[in-house]
Amino acid sequence: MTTYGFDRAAPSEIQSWLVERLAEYLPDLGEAVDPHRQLGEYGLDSITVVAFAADVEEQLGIPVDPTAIWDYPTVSELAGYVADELAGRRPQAA
Amino acid sequence: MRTADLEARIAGWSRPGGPFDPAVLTAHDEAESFPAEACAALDAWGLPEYYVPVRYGGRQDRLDEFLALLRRIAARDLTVAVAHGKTFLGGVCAWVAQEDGPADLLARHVLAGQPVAWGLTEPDGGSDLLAGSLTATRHGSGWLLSGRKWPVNNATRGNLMCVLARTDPQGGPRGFTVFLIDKRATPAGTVRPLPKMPTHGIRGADISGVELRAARVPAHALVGTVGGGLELVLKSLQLTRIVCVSLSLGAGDHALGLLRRFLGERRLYGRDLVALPHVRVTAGRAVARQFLAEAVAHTAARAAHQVPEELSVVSAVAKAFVPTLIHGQLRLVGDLLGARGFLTGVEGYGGFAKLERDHQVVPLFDGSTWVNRAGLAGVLPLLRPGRRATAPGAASPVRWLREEHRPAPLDTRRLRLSAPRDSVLGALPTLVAELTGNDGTPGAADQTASLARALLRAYERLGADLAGTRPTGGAPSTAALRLAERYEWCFAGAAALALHAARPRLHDGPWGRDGLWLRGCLALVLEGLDSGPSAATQVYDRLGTLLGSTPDVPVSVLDDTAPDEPARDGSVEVPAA
Ligand SMILES: Cc1cc2nc3c(=O)[nH]c(=O)nc-3n(C[C@H](O)[C@H](O)[C@H](O)COP(=O)(O)OP(=O)(O)OC[C@H]3O[C@@H](n4cnc5c(N)ncnc54)[C@H](O)[C@@H]3O)c2cc1C
Repeated sequence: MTTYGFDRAAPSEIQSWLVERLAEYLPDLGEAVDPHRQLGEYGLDSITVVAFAADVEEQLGIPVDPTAIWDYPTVSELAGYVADELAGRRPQAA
Repeated sequence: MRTADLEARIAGWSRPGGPFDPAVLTAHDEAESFPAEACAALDAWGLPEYYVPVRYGGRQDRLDEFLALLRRIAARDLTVAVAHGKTFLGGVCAWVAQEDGPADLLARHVLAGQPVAWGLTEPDGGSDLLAGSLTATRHGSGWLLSGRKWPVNNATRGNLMCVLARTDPQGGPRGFTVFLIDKRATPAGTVRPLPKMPTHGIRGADISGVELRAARVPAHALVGTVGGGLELVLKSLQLTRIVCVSLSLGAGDHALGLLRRFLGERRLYGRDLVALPHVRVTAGRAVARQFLAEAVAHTAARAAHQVPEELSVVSAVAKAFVPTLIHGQLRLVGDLLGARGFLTGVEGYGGFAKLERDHQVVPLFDGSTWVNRAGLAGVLPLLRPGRRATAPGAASPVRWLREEHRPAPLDTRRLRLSAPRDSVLGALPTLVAELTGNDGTPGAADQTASLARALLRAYERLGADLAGTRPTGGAPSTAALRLAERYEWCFAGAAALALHAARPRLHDGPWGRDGLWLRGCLALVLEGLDSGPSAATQVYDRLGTLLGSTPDVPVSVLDDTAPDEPARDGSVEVPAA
């Protein structure tokens, strides 16, 4: 069973969690990730997006295809998407 | 399947003066001229019908058959296979986009024999699709396209070309769109072919490019959705990368045919060449490489129908692994042929040097070995053994690899950019556990089982090494690429075991008796995983001896010349909604 360090019913907590995750992919970024800024502006390349999607998928136990990140290209939008997915599905064993 | 028919026709066309006469094809290679006669013969036979899915009026309904056809052509002449087979690549975006595009229109053109090119690469972009600068801007109801695609196969001969164009000046993964250009319908002077490039191999092929200067295309040239181009291309590449490996299989067939003839003819020190142990073992390694390549290619082709959501992994493994494996095989064969592998004018053997040159393009186009391996490396932590229990409702590959299994229609809506699981490698523990000790003599069966257990241990070690990794962005480290390579070897071993379990026929005959072919594959896999078994030499020795002593037995574990039969087991799969 997946355990989360946040309340999965609360999109704001999902958002903070995603901000932290993303920061791991942007070690050179000297500031906090702005949830309303386009991820592309942070220089996230296509392989990184696939990896990031895989990471979110792995940690949450819900399918997150890289295209979800393309279609919800800010952390805030992505958090909304993830919240909907989590509400709609029970997490699978990870 | 019409594979047997095509094979017989090509044999006929290969007689002196025929379109596949090696002398004619060699002359084209030397003159760097297009093998037009051979391509025309394939058109007349009806090959273009296999580039079009059944739902659009063609005959393409199973990838394993298509691979078998292209392989037969590649086995005679790789340049012809690349030059003609390109139309499959050119069309695939339209089939994947389904009704969101000009699929019906394209189908009519392809069925009428029009070649289609696929323009992804740009001079400054190389492997980086997001760097593309060929731009499409809206113009009335249609679009204006400007920029260059180069190098592109068939770019000059093909009136039709599918291109990936930038539709958002900012680019990004939703900033690109695919268009189908019909050069004949563009205003004069706006489309210019770029000159044919001299090449190291496939010298007769039309490797050139195209330059568009505000070329106007109509609204119906749009393939898929605006902004959907990168996703469409990445999904299409999952299919074309599997198809491309048939070129390697054909190259392997060609090389093994030459080697076999050499083993039958060459005498040294008053004895047949196969009397030299090194020759037998090297020939056996080359044979084992062919079988392992077949197992991966065939599994990938069936997987496209059965588990399309896993193809991002399956296609990357196939494209990184098989051309590399066959590249190594050609080196082994070239070694054995000695001077005849190098001299181009010796009757019968001159083709080897051309074949070796031609094959060098296979590992580099449609995503190079390293591009595919890097893609795999990025998601390996997600594929870690045991990460997901068993796939929900996933059927074992053994089920869908059975000879009589009729693949479900290809459902491109199920393609995804990252795979939720890998059912082929995921089946490895069960495949090893279920290896029955009753095929072959007890000694051989024990040896097979012991090789399979060693593979399982190597796979568990890979799992342990992956346990500490997390998905990473950017360029993968060398260590991560090596993990991906180990993953490929494990996958290949699982594919061979699954094929063995699925096909009782493969437990017999010269290659199958005592599980010989399977042991050859497992020995190679274990060597690739740095756990070379002591039994390997003896297994290769037997394979090499058989190659020289059974001139009429095809070097293949696939019987894809069998006529198409309705499924006897009722195993037409209904794809999950
Ligand atoms: C004969 C021929 C026919 C072709 N036909 C077509 C065609 O029909 N249509 C078309 O669009 N293109 C075609 N191409 C282009 C082909 O697909 C390109 O060669 C390919 O896109 C790679 O570009 P590049 O060779 O410039 O290598 P680059 O992208 O410059 O790569 C250089 C090196 O870096 C490696 N590399 C690249 N990315 C990574 C990564 N992420 N991780 C690790 N290593 C990496 C590569 O493997 C290579 O070794 C053709 C090329 C040839 C030679």
